[in-house]
Amino acid sequence: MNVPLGRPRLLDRLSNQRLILIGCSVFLGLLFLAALAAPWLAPHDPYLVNLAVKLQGPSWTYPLGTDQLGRCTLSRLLYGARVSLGFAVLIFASSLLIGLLIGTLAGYIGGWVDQLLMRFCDGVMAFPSLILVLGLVGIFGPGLKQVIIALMLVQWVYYARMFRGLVMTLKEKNFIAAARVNGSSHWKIFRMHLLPNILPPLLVIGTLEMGWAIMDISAMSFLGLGVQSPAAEWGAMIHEGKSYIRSNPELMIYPGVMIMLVIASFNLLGESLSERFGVNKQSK
Amino acid sequence: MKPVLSVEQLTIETIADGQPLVQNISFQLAAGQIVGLVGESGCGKTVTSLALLRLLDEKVIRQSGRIWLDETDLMTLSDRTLRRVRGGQIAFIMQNPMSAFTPVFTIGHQLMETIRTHDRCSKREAKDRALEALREVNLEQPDRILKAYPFELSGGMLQRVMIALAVCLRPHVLIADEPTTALDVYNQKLVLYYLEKVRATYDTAILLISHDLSVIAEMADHVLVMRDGEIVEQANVFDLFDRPQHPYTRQLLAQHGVQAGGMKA
Amino acid sequence: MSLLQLEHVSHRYGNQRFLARQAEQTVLQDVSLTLEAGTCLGLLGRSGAGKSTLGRILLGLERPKAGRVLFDGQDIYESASKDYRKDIQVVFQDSFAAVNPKLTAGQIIAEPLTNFLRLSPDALHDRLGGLMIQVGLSATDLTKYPHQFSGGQLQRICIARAIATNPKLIILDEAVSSLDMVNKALILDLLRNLKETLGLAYVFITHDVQAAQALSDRFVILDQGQLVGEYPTLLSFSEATDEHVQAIRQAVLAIHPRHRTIRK
Repeated sequence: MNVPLGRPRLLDRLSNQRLILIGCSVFLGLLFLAALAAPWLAPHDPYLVNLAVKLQGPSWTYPLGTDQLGRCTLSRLLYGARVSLGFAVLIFASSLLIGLLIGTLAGYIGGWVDQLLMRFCDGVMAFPSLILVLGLVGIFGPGLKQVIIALMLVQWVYYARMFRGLVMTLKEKNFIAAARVNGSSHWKIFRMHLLPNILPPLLVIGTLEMGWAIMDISAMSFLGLGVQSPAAEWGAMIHEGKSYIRSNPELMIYPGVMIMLVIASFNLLGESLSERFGVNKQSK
Repeated sequence: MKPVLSVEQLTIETIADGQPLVQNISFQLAAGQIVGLVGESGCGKTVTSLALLRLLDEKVIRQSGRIWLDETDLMTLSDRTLRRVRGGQIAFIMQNPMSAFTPVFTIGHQLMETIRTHDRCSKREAKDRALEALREVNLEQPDRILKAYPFELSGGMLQRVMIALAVCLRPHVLIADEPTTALDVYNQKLVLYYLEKVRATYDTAILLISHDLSVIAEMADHVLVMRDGEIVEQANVFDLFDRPQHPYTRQLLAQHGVQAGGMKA
Repeated sequence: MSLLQLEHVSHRYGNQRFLARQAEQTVLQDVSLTLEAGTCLGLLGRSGAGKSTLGRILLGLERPKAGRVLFDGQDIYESASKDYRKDIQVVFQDSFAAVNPKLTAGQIIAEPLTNFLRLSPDALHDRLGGLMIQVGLSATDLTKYPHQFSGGQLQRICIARAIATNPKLIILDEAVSSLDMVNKALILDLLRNLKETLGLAYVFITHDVQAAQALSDRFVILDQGQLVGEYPTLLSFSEATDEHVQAIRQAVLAIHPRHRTIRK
């Protein structure tokens, strides 16, 4: 039996943990659906310029008003979600997969393979990630595709390190030795024993990392390096809106609040998941 | 003889479903006495020991009864006061010595920090006391041990370091929860030897928790037999082994006897 | 021909990092021993004496730096096929660490069966049920997860896994050392019964003399990587007077308070 020791928990102050888990999942789920359904949900074409209606407040035609070029803010937010969320998922998934492969190989095989791969990761990690991304974008040139590739190239090393650590811990456990004694091949061990035990921490990390990925894309777009106008993207919208900060602050506020809400949801989701998976089902 | 620790009607239950973990137990510890608490794993021994130090999560567990340490009821103390009691007046030695220490600080750092938390003294003094205590448990090259990290020492050595820490703080009561279970037979005997040394030198009262009746046979004056959260029998150790009253005690002794085939001590 | 033969096995540990080499540590030195089918060898010694390393070498998990391990006359490290694995199984000390927490008891026990035998799903199911009963559990427990069992029960599941392919030899690596008194006695009984009914050979690695005596036919003592004593019978072991047996005997705790040595 696990004896419950008294320890303060953040989420206790925010009442029911399950509620948060459900709430965040629902919110994010709806947002993803909305992003997917943008072409049908958006009241207007996000690229449609109409200077006659520029900088209007909320109305029936334009639920969140219009921006400085008369484009519907709501539509741009919806289409922006596709970019921010969609590409965040892409970056996250691909860098995760590369990191998983390389990290697991390094951790399981060990020896010089491990040393080689880890020294390479050390080299990449020696640079602050944002600087490295900027540097890569400088080489590739600005553009969404280039930003995504740059982010992928930088992100996977962190996952590799993490998976390597997890695999190395698991490798020492006797159930891996038992599997070998039982005649399981290395591939079977990876599939049946390593992967399922790596997955829970992965889920937790994943949710937190998604928040970062969104932040990175928005940051790059805000700096003018990612999405190029007239494309709709939250960071880019903030970038464009900053010239109107005095007269129409809502141009910055809407996308800013969206970014904040999404990242906060991912973080809360990650925390409640880590609570759930944090206490391992093993008694000892 | 007035008891140093007196537990009255201690009951522990989970708040969620009211399931009793420990039911209405009472016992006493006198100065210089070793009381053995024996029972199978899961019977409530560890929960009891944690409850004495009020280390259980009070949002999940409800604890009632009285725990008298000299003249004070520990159940009435604030968390701040309790922190001084823990370590300073009641020391705790746990089963897995590796998990009692922080892996990223040296032994010396952790020993000195604990000493200085409970007694105001300089770093120099704390270091001297730590070295002295390590010598008392016959750990070789104590200055090297102070500089070492927990993972560099074996389980047996770490247990002796914990005993050394207890020596430093001179607590009235020492709770040892399965202190020898994770060790091999050679280290087991050593650890028990040093526990006895602490008892004899400082008149410490010891609550020795174990599932192994040999440990109880070697060390205890008085024995509490626990099953499913209740104390089914309490007796002087010789009486318990020679004239067990409760059928569960008899069963435990039979298992103990059956398992020890061949070799006469 | 003996079932198991170790010939002059030596092993060292030395960390080979990319550029530096750490000091090497000799863990086993010139260890030779034999084991006949159907018998139990008690391998005693304190922690750090090299017992666990020897266990790993016997299981084919770690190749010794010198010497040979012959199973049924075949050098297990020279043969390309790992078929010998079917006949050498293991039960570890910590049952919770020895099983994948994400698998059910049924999946855990089935692993060696699916690797070594071609069984139809029905035959597999029957075999699993039979094994559970053989170790004193019920077939309904097959769908449970490790955390739903107690230490003693989970160790029985590990034993079921070990006997699943009808092996000839089982390495018991401190298999009862983590159990409480009651479970220790029960598991030792189970192991004894299985040895008789299935004709198993055991290498019982332990520091616990009393447990070793309850199960073993022969004894050897390992001290700092070397074999320092061999006792062909229980009687010769209990009557031996050399320093190593003395050291072991002194380490044993009293069974009854009147024999206590620590408190006067």
